[in-house]
Amino acid sequence: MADVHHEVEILLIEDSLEDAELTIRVLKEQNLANRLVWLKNGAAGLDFLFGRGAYAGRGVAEAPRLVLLDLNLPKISGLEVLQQLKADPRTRKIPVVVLSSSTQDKDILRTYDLGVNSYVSKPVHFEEFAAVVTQMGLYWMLINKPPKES
Amino acid sequence: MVEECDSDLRRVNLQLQQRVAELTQQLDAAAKDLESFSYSVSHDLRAPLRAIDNFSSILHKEYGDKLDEEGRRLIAVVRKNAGRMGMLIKDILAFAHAGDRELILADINLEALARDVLEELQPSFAGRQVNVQLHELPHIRGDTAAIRKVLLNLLANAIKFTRPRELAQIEIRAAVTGNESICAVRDNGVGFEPEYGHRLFGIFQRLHDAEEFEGTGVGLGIVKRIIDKHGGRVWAEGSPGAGATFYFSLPIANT
Repeated sequence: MADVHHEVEILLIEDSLEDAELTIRVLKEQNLANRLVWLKNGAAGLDFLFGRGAYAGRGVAEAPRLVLLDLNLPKISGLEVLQQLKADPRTRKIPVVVLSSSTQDKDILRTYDLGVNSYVSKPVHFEEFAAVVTQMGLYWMLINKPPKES
Repeated sequence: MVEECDSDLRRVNLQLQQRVAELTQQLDAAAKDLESFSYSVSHDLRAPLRAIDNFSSILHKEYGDKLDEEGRRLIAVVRKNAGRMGMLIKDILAFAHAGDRELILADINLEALARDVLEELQPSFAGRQVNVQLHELPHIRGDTAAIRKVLLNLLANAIKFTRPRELAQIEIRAAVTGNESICAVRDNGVGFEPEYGHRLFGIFQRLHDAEEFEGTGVGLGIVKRIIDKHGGRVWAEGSPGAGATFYFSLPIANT
């Protein structure tokens, strides 16, 4: 059992300190945050994923198993991050879940147009928030089957 | 002389038309601004509210046993109000949403729609004695989803404000007079003071204690917005302790 989560690696791109703390807290309770990286803006997220800038030398192939992406980010928006990830054949297969406060249809539609794997709107209240993040985390880390590189 | 007058009139007329077109454009722009404002306000308010609600809940869950009774009461006050603010934000969005799309007019069987809404509301009065009298209702012309929302709000109110009654009586009836259909929802609930009746349809206006009857006061605001959009009227009659009747009218299309 101990090794089940060994390969878990989640990249959380979220600018709100509070939302990040809450998300990590819930994932931790499920033992899903052992190898989680948290970055606070879209530019840093792209650098990490493409092995550039502060992450030069990091291989693009060392992809996280899941990207949790906020939409409203400083510098480079979540939509742009999503667009660049899905446009590049090397990063296209990484599952991206948008975690956003927005419930606006046009935001949801845009992310699906860009190829998002899932859209989750962040609930306001405690019990719901914990339940949603738990289910989302368990599904993507334990139930979903990612493609294998051949 | 007559021709001069004529051309003057035409010029003034043209100027007026231009002015109306300009004003309409400004009004449209203002309405759009207001809509995007209410969306962004409610979304931007969610993030800090999420922090307040979640961290106070964590405080309660993980440190509750280290606090005395007064400390725990204070946290409960914070959490209760965070909940209330969440409701308000949700309702601001619902109100903004109620008027932001074009109506799709169709023939509506009001009676079938009312039955459907009552069925949906059934769980909200489970275990209570509620007698609903649904009279014969006419077919009307309106936007089905919007009119459904009107009935849902009016009937939910009737159910809510009859809660203190041992036997709640709710009556739905309608009449067709000349050029309009009028629908009435009557209850034997707590009623209201007629001098405040005009405030009922204002958004976030409440005539009762939040402790006594939950809600933010957005429901009748939504009802009015929808009926206004249909070109109809809303009004209410009631007195304290003697129940209330809410009316809405819809114009009958002369086709």
